[in-house]
Amino acid sequence: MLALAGLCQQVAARDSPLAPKQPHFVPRAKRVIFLCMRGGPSQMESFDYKPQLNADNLRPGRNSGSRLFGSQWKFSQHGESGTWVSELFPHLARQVDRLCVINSLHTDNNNHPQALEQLHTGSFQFVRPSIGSWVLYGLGTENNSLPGFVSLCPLKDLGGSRYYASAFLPAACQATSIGDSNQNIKQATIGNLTNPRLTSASQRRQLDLLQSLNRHLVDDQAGDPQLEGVIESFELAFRMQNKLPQTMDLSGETKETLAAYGIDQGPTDAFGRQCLLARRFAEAGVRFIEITDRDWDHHGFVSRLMPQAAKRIDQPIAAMLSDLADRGMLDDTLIVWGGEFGRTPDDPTQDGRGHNHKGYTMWLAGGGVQGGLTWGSTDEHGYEAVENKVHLHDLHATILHALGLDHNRLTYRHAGRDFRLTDVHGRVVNELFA
Amino acid sequence: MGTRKLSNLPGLLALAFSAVTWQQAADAMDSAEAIAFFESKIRPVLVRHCYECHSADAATTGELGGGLQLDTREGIRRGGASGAAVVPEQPGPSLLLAALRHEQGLKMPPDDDPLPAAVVADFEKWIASGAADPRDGKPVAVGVDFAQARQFWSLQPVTSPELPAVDDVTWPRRDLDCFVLARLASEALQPVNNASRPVLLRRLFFDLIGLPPTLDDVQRLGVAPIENVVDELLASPHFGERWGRHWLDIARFAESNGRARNMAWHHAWRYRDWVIDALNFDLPYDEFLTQQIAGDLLPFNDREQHDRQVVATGFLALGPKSLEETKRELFRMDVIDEQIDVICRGILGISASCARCHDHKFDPVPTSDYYALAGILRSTDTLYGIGPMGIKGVNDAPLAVMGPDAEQLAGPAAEHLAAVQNKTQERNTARSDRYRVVRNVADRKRQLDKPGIDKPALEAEIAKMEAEIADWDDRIKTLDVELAELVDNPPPQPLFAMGARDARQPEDCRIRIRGEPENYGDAVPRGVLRMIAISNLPGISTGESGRLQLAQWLSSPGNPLTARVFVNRVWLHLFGRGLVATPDDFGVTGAKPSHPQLLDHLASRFMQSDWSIKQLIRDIVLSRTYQLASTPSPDGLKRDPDNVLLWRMPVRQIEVEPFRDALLAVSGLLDRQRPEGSVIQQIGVFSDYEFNFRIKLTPEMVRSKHRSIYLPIVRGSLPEMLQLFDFADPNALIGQRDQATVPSQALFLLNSPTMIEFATVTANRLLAEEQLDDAGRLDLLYQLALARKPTDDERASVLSFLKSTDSSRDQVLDAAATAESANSDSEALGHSHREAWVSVCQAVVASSEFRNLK
Repeated sequence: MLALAGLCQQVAARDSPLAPKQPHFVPRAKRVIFLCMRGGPSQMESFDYKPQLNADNLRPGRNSGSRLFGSQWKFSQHGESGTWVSELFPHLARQVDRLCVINSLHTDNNNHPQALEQLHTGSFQFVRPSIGSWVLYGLGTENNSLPGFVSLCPLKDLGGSRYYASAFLPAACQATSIGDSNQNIKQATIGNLTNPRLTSASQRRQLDLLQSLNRHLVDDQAGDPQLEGVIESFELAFRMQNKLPQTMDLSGETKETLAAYGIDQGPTDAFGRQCLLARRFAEAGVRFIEITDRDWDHHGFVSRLMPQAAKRIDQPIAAMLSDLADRGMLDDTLIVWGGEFGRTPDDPTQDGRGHNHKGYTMWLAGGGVQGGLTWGSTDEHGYEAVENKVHLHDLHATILHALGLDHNRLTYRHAGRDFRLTDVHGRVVNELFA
Repeated sequence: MGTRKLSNLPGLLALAFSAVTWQQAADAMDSAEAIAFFESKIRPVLVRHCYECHSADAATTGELGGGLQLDTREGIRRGGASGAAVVPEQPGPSLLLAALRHEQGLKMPPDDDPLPAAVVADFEKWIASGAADPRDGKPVAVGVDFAQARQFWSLQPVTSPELPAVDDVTWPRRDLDCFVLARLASEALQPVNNASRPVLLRRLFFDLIGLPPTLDDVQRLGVAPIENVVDELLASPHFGERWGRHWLDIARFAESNGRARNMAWHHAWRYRDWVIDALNFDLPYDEFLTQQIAGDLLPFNDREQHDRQVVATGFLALGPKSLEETKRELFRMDVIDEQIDVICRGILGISASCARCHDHKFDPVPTSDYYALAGILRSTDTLYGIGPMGIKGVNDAPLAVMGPDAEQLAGPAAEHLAAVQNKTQERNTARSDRYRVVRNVADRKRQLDKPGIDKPALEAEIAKMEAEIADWDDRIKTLDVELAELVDNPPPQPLFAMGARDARQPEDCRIRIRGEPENYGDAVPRGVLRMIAISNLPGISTGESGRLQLAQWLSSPGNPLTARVFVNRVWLHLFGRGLVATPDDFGVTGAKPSHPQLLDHLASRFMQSDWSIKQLIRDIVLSRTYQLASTPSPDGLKRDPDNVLLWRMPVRQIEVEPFRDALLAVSGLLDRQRPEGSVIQQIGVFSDYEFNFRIKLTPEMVRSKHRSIYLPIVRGSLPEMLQLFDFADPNALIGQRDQATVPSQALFLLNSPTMIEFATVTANRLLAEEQLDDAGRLDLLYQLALARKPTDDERASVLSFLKSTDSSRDQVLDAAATAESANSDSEALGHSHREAWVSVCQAVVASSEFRNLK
């Protein structure tokens, strides 16, 4: 009976689109944690130090009716690398030698929904698979009781569901979404994960009856692999009922850990929980984990909103980086931080910033990237990337590269042609790797 | 004049200056020296970095990029799709140089850093000095050779093959069986036996009407001649609901535009109902297509016929659209691209979309043909309506107006709409004006604490601004009231539909180089793809879009693809696998037919029987091949596990709609009537349906007891069951749905309130049969759900499950409470017995057998 069950699993595994696959070459990272900052965080208030902008404060800006608007916060250099960080991110500043800051990102669209779609799928024009789906499609999953692509607090507005969808890739590659960006992950429930009617023991008995019916058809069909797959999927679902709540249950974490992440400490609670859950999902073998903070679109009140936003994420992310490092997992976990674009250096009201897709900042950590590196730069005011420009397609190619995947070879045949995450674009930024 | 001269001055100066430098360079190099320079500095770079994709070799192997051949003098000077690569003595317009410098959106070599600056400088010097080039010879002709292309199997005319001879003349029931048997015989493979009557009955019911047979059906039809069963099912109004849904997968039917501003399409359902009616009416397929492409242009006898034909053109309007796209040209070309895709892949099995940017790599679709088609669609107004919440959108479009009073009502309705939009804009402008003052007040207040500030003056300013805000508040309140007044008192509305009409000024479309919407090439006369030549196709006159000609071309019996692609789709739905395994790709990259003669037999018969879809389906389901059992033979499994040769009927999983419909039917909840319209109409046209334009479906909207084809189809927000069980993503044309097996499906089957409700209602239905004992109830459940009796083993295991559940009362989470509140032991026992039946019912409808057809 045991042998038979093992065999079923193998059959299912062979036919499943999620069976583990070999990457194209030796990978640096095995998994990704993507920290999605919806709204477009300001580079001038975080990692792109612009002394000239401050010097030219109130001079006319490039955008009509605007004046240049320097940052209100002090920047200083940190770590052995001397990476510049604004005073709004004191915790991350202490870990700056782990960060690979890219100050020269640029993308193709400056509307939130389209830019977010391109951030996730590479395209703002067409419905394409999410990067998480591509990664799962390319590498499969190694855990057998959890999904391979998890999105915590996903964006639901403005067509958000497409950011995590598999489009033409096998449906099994789509994200399992938990919660939504309008609520604390603490309140999230996962659909159909618990049976409202039966105790676990009696559900097991019902499942045995159901599986005997399923087995009847499999026998009639001489072991049809698709039907065997159904039997296995029921067993996996049954395991998930235990495993997923277990993974989401933070009660086993120490008081120190919870405190380090800022959990139950006001503003850091929501994102702290997401960061800790990201670590737990990473440990449990989930391939691609995305977590979300939604409030970075500061057209006004930068002086108030920016410190709030920084406060929400600074300590939790720093805690996650140390925690992963302490557990020996930072080396093979690629962390990606950033939003759909950045902000303009000028503004008509002097307390807000517009959308800027021509030059902005994202950072990477872990996963074999060079900590302490600051790559590329914008012009003296921060309007546009000018040196060592990294297009969003290049970033996508680079993320795949870290996972041992060649963005030119990770293709899927659909509608008569081979599709890629990077379409016909993308260049791996090799310089970012240690 | 003066101004123009002045503004050109810097350019002229630059030109004069550059000309001097080039002249100097040219002077410095005599011809032999120039050739030597080419040989040492230029040719090696071209060979090393460019020839792989830009040479005669590349052209011959089909690897040529951008139509550009750099390995002859003529080739390099003529250039490719984007223009001349080298213009002697003029580095400026020489695109090769721009590409090497990664300028003007060009980037060569691709995926690399630019070549060293010194190399680029060499190229500039070489071009400036006259681009001396000893390489004689002509570039290879790369135009599409259509005569050659038409040799491809799918582009050859459809034939009516002779029936092959078969040894066992008693086996074939229909002509098509001869092709199958002959092929099996040639591979020495035996077909399996016929399916049993219960299996066949269940198969026919699901395949033709998407519902399980009722007890009454089984009684009436259990022994009736199979022709009668088939004819009854083909005549059922549920036939159109089943087969219409197959077409809606192709038509990427949805009731919202699906992008960021996901607006409700209140009238899309008319197209859905039109498709269902067309299939029930057995509208010939050529007519079915013609109406969808050009229904608005067809003659009609009365208003109703006209309106129906207009609704059919909804086919062109239903694609996903980025209504928030502010680049008008990009938006227009994207809409056209989507229309070309659905027409070419859906009807012809050819993907033409690649040709938007470059000549199709594999199939004979040059870019010029793509833009010929694009011209037809550019000369067509796509009627999809306006955005939500009364907000004027850059890409607003009208809707088609219909109904007996359309002419009288259309004008006032349009005026009202414009008034609402204007008032909305006025109100929204007032809101942002107010917000600007609010921001300024905040700004001023921050300055109050700063040293050296004239505090009283600032405070006065703040007070003034706050008064201004109060004024705005009043103004906004008034505007809100006026707006509500307008919205609540619309004039009588005509009926609306999504659709298409000819543009006022039809125009040819200019090629967009590399597909960039504002990078213009030559205009191409409106027309169809030249890969399929139809004789006597009338020309397109200046005043018309050309959609009639397009429809005629698509539905012509001389079109080799239309019938083949459609009969293959029908075959796919009846056998789980097409004779061509890639139903949307009949091109070079697609699969070859497993039974080419059978495919042509079906296609030619289809056209001969006046493109009757019902006749085609009837012919297939009455065949021996369709009626084979699914139980495999060891030999068949070993030699042809994928059943390509059709030695059996494979087990097929039913799609989510018949699955859900069957759950409704078995539990007795199903409402077989067609609902009026769509629940999407409950979403107000002008109302704030949710912050951020997200359409919110209430649970009531998706709890419908009607058939699943009538569920609301909002892009990105599908009803849970559809989402989980591989419904065709309405963002794209889907010829063959996925069949994923994922744990989220199993979780739904085990735990969802939906499944538990179905199981509970079913259990109540069984328990209400008081004259039956548990064994009798089980027989009834099996009959309803699986159209068969349980085996002895199954009966024994279910009865023992029921018994053991009865004896252990702590099975159910609330059992203890129920037992306590029960008046007697027998009541408690009754409750637990009921719960046990719920578990049994759920297990049966969650089982593979329920979700599969044998």
